[in-house]
Amino acid sequence: MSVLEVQDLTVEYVSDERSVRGADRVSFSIEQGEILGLAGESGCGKSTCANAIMRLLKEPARITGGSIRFDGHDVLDMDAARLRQWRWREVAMVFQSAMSSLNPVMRIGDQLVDTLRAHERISRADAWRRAGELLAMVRIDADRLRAYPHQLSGGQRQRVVIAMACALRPRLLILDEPTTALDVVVQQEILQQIRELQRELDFAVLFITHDMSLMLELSDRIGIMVAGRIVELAPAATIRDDARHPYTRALMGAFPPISGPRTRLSGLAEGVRFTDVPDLVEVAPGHLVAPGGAPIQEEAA
Amino acid sequence: MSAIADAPVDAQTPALRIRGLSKRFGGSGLLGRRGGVEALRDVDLAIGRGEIVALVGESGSGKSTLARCVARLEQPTTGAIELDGVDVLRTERRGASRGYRRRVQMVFQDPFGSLNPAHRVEAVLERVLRLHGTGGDDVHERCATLVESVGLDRAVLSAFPHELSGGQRQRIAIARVLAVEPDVILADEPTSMLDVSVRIGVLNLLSRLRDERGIAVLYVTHDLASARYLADRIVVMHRGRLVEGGESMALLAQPAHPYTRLLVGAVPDPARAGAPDGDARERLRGEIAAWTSAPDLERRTVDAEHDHWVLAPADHDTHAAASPAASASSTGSPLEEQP
Repeated sequence: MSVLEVQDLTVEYVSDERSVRGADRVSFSIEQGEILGLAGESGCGKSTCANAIMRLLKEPARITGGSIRFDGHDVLDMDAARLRQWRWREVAMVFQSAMSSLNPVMRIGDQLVDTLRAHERISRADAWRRAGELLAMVRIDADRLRAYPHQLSGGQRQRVVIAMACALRPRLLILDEPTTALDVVVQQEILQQIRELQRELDFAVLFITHDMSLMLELSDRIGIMVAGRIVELAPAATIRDDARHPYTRALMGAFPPISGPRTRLSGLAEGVRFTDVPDLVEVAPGHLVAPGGAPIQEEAA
Repeated sequence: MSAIADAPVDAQTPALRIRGLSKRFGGSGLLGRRGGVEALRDVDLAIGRGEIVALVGESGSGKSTLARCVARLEQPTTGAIELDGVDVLRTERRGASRGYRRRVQMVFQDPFGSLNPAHRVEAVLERVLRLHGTGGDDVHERCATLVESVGLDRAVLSAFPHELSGGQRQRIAIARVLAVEPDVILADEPTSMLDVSVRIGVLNLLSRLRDERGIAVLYVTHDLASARYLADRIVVMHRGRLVEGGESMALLAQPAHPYTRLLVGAVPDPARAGAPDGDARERLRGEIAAWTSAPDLERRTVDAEHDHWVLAPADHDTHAAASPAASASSTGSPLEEQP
């Protein structure tokens, strides 16, 4: 059974005059130990999906259709008490600006202890010891437990947040642009950290980013989103070598490679819009593509 | 117009030359030469006519400070900025002349903040044309030509900035720069705030301006892959110093400085099997610390044919250091080739 199964998920941002679909009949599943990437540009709906899965959407956003099942349980059916239990323990999320989500006037150790004690019956002393182990797990010295967030670098803070997310050994970790604000070397370290943790703890990952190079390096399978719809879903190697949808190709063409011959890329012309994207069709085993798709104009620059 | 603008153009002199430029923030003593933060240290850099030079480094390396000094938005502590062999820091002590500003123009990172929201695109461009005395009767037509030269339809002339996408706005910012027909464009992370799919278009536009108009570009970025894509030459900045430079492909194929190797190895590369490991990274960090703290640093030639040099400790055998990477093909990762 998949850890997560999302079926025809539709999220609408509703106002008096009109409603906008932030996510439109989105379907995908994630197996245990798998890293699934959702890629797309700002506003494509990838974060909307993540927030819907966590049931974190706020008005005026509403889930108006579809289902989300975690381990076979209906997430949309959970009441507040069940949700509180389920979040963090079963599924944890690291946000884009997570490193600024730490409490600035609280020691790192106390924040980790609070997280642990909010979900488990555990003594303060034991929790403090566990917190030290968690820091060690993300390669930060346990004596940093007594540090305040401002005494750590941005990369260290982000690692603390990841340690916190892994504290209760969740089955699914959602990472929403976890390295966007970080320098490239730190970014690589964080991703490596996630890979190691994932190997060790065997959780599933929903990885969200606009950076296709990163996405290809980390993910097992990738879904490409535009205008609230998934237009292509396939194993990472297939997306890299055999992308079929014109938008996927445009997105791939937006990232110049760091190796190989230097060739001219074209990206996406200004003002190209994708509307009325049809349902995905399986063109090869495990490779789903939305048929048609607006033809991409060649960039004139 | 100042003497600078009218100086004869000699194809042999670079468009712009920076010599021994240093900048210290928050120092004390005469001219702030004691204490504080050394943001730039003894920077030498020449940008040829019709050449794109990428200035790469991490946040805090000093790359934006260098661009801002050249744009005369910051006053360097020491050094020279030469246009046609004339040091403008001496001839224009109290700030850049209009002549200098016309020839050296800056494109900023944020296209949302750099255009006046109350003015239509045409008014923005028209103002620049008139300010620099190149207005005239056909100003509407000239504005239209400008927006078309950056790949936009002339219909955008009547739009307000908020009606345009980030990519369109950045093109307008470039059109405004082109209005004064500059020799040098300083582009500080011009695509990092744009949607990813339109970034390449802006890079292609800069590349076309170099090819068609011979404009020199200093492209400031943290993105090595885009530097490789766009630039003829790359210079790498680390803690305020230029530590390595050379033709883009040659430099990235065999980076000689440990800092460059660290950066190159950290760029995600789907073509590479397996990322470099933490041990390789730590080894490089140790090397970087040793190189940076060495008492005597000197520019060494790595490969004269490709103008490739590295700032190495005086007692260091550059060729021995570069050889592990040199054995790598252009598609290989220099990090993986570490012994």
